[in-house]
Amino acid sequence: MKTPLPQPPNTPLHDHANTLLALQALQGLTTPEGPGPSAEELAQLADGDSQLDVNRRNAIYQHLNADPALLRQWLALTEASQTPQASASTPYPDASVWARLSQWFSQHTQSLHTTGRWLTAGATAAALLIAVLLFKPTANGPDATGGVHPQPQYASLDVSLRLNAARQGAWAALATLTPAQKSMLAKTVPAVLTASADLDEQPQDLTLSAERVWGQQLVAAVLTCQEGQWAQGDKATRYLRAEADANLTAHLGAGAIANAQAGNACARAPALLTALLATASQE
Amino acid sequence: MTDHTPDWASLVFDPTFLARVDKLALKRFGQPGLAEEAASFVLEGLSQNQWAACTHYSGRAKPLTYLLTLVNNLLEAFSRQRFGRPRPPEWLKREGDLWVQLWAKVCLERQLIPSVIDAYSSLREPDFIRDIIRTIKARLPWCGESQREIPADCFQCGTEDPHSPDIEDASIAQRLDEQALEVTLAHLHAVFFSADCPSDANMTNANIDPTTPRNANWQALRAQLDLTAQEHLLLKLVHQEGVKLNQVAKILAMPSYQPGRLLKALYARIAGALAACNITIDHTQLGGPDA
Repeated sequence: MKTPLPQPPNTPLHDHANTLLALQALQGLTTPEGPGPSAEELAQLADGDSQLDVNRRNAIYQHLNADPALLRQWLALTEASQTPQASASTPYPDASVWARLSQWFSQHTQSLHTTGRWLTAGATAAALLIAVLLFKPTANGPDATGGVHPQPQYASLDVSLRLNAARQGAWAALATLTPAQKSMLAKTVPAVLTASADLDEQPQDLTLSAERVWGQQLVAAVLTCQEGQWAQGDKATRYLRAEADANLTAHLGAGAIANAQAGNACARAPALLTALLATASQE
Repeated sequence: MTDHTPDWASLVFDPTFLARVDKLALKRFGQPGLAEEAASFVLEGLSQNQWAACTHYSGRAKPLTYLLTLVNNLLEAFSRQRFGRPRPPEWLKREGDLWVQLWAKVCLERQLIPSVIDAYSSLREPDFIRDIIRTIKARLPWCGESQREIPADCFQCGTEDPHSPDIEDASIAQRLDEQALEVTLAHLHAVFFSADCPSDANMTNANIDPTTPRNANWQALRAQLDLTAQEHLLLKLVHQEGVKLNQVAKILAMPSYQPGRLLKALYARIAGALAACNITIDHTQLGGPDA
């Protein structure tokens, strides 16, 4: 079997062969002028930034010709920066759903808070959570169209099971906290005290699920907010990684942090956790 | 914090950016589990020590593009950490970096060929990628076969040994003698060293690198070619990297019609330079459709 010659389309073979020979001859031809490009200069080049001086641009081209690793880096960057923001959808549908869910839920609790109905926020939020969980779409369902529409098949979901899993996650996270951390959490989420007191009596469900991880993340997010650690995102990430399943944490953990952080949501995250734990105590 | 220092935390933890990191990691590694690990590695790398990785930013580039540069670097760092530093065969290195990348992904990381082709197809011609992979697999029978062991010499973990093994199956190489471009070029290379180039007469010993045999021949061709850095890069992108012409135009900030015109002129110049050095390629030996 003949192995085809890799060549650009619509290019005569002799031109391709001549060019490859010329490129071989040019290998190591010159020492590029000036220092190698910084990460920022590569970014400027990828953006087609006209502020980049022509001479410097040519010097960078020389470096790209001379350094295969740099050329690779630049091409990867060019490709990545051409990806439209809007199409950068998550490859993990479940994470997307949960990220949207928690954000949407947070927004509702925020609006309740700002209208002075803080006292009822917990109960209402719990109701909203149930409603959202009830209609949680799947990757093949309404998620594909970008909207969340109730479908008959979702009505049969065992809502209490899902809520219970989320609570289990929150409890599991609380169980790992130091007394000082619990006390700090309890300042904004009084239900933590009740939940903590019940911890020993709760059966520990070790089944990993998106809901359970979500509960864990919520605790971590609130705690991180309280400690004013947003500048140290790695701390929360580390915490989450230790707590949750390795396959889910990297994405969901980061998503939860982002959701809590976006739009000063540190103020909203406690409401979410209050709602979750309050539902638990009502049962 | 200076005026032009962005809020890295909010940029990185923006759900859209996180999704982008996930997507890049998936594209780079092909497998969701590994991609998640890589994405996590990237986030940790970016955020550790109070976003120390971003401290060199001076405000000239767009923050998001700058972040993407760091993300790509970290993905490569993750790859080195996980798979070691690859030691490609010499013949592969001569073909260009794209061949090395594809060899690493298909042979060492054992990514699925369709997903590798897909990952490269936004910027490059899919057939170009497919043909390279086919050639590599033909020359390295163990490549991509899960039941066959990867030769240990293909990895370089932490050492700086400059010598790379030239792994070759003699019978395969023999089979490909008449078709493989690499082999043909190696042959041409040898012929070229002995070519009688008229420009030699003008060369002085001072211009010749004594470590390279018959360097004057190369010098002569180089002088004949006289390419600008941009022209050189254009040829590399099209002929070694397989980048689509419309993408080349974007990358080099040219009008879309320009790369094609430039290439046409360059082919003529290269042919002229080769002719000036009395180098003639017998294209029937290359085995292509227009040979």
